Amino acid sequence: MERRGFLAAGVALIGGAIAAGLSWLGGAFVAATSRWPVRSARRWAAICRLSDLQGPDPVAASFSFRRLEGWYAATVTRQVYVTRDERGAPVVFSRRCTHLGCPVTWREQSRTFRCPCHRGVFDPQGRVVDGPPPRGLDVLESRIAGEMVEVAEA
Amino acid sequence: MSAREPLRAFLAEWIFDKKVPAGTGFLRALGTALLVLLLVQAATGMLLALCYVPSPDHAYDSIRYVDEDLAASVGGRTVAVGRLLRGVHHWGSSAVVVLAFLHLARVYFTGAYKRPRALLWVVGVAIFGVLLGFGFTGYLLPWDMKAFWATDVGLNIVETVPGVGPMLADLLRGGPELGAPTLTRMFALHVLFLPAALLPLAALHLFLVHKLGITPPGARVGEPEVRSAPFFPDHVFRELLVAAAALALVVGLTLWLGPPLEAPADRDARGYDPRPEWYFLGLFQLLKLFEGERVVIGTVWIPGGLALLALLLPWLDRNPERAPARRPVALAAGVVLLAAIAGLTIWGAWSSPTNRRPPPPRVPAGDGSWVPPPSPPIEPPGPAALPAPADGGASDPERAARLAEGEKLMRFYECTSCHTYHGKGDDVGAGAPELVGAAREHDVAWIELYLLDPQRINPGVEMPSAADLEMSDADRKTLAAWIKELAPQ
Repeated sequence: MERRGFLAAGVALIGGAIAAGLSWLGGAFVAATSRWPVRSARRWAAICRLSDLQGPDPVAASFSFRRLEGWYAATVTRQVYVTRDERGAPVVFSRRCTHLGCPVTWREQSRTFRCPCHRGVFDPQGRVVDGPPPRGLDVLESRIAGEMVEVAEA
Repeated sequence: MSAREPLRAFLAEWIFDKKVPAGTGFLRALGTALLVLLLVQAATGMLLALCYVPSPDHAYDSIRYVDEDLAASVGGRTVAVGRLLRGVHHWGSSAVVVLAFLHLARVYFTGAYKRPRALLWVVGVAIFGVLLGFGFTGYLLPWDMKAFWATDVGLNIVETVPGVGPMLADLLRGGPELGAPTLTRMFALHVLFLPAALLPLAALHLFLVHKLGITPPGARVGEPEVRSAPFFPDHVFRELLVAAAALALVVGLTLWLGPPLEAPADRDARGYDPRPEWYFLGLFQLLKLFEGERVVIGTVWIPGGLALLALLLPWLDRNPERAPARRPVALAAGVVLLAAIAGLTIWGAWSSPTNRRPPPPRVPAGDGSWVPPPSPPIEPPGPAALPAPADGGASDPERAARLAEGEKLMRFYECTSCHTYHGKGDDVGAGAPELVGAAREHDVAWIELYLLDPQRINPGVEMPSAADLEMSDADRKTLAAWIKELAPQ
């Protein structure tokens, strides 16, 4: 009976080792394929002139950039609104509603950003006024370069 | 309690209470080891499918992404987990072929295919065929030089099947030439059709093995088969040990050699000599033994005949003995066949060129990512690429007539069997130079002499002489002038 126990332990050990090795390999592979490639340098895209921001309304703008999606070099376009914050500095809002990602639109009459999908409403500074969005509009990292407003590609 | 009864009964019947004949050893553990390796192939293949594109514009990039961009961190060290996974799948395919072959040979030499196991054997032979199909359809997928050209040769072999060959080749290729539809088709065969064929065959095989049991070593046909040794844990231990050894070899080969990848497939591969995966080298060498019309002996009759013999074996061999010593004819035939297969494979490997083309470097995009290298410019084939004379060609009807006459002769003597003409030929990659520009550095007299007797000028060259081709002197002069005229001045 000792021999039987020894062999059964061997079966469990070898079978377990094969299963564990394969599981680790599969898990690590899936994890690695589920990450974006890491960029070492940040690139900036010009989206509008500072002088475009004189009026009372946010300015709709967009920028495109190339990025590597795994093995595929894709061109990605982002829709944004550019406005000024309470101190007058340029601020860039993503048009993606923070609820489920539909594009918000600026309404001049009510002076709000409105989401067409589930009636999310944001004020001119991107704060939630009404509806289901869990947080204000996402702010994209931006900077002023000369006369231009630039936004970080992401 | 009662809900677990069926599972318990099943496990007891299939594993824990099962008996095998006394004397069952490691040789009878090959089938289960093969099953384990196949499960590993299925798992790694499903994972690879997460980032593979079966289309010429992205297949190679997606494979390169797996090889070079997928990393995992283990204890602070970076492991190229994509390379590891693809390597296991690549070398695992070799292990599958080896284990399947050894298993087949074991069953043959121990007479285990005899009554009552004829169907079990036939299903096994069919599975072996399906496994070779997995191998063949799998290696086009990386879309590198080896993939493209070895598959091209393989599909051209299918073309030599008498009668239905060309149709069959077109069906497999999805057209008259290897191209984008071929890649998508091979992928579909590899991941959908062949698994669909393998699954029921493997299930039937396992079911029959379970019902009929392992053949007792040396038992004559008709003798009662006694099973007294435990299947679990003794035999399961042996089976897993063989599987673990095979897997260790696969991982070892992966760490040592990695998954191979050459330069991206190039349809204009002058000077590239394609070779198939090593387990097809024997077949490849076999067909080199037959020339011209008789190549069909090597491509169809011998492999097809062997497959048919294998399928009919249980009915051809009526000897009730199973012990190899009492089956001298079967033993001798098996040894001769094994020696022939091994010999041809070694010979094929021996004469394989080492002309693999390494992948091109990736171009960093300056932000830590990379961009794929630009595609090479495509030259338009056909008459448009003819070197234009000073006055523009169209205004020179005499020259056009001379060019047409020369081209007609070239077609008649089938120069494009080896040479390319504007990049097109029957055997692109044979190594013979492109006709356009071939004579750039020689005058007409030299070309005439070369056509007369190529070996005198270039010893060892395989080009046939004018005498071999029964080429008249007039034709030879016309062709030489034509080749000269083709060359850009």
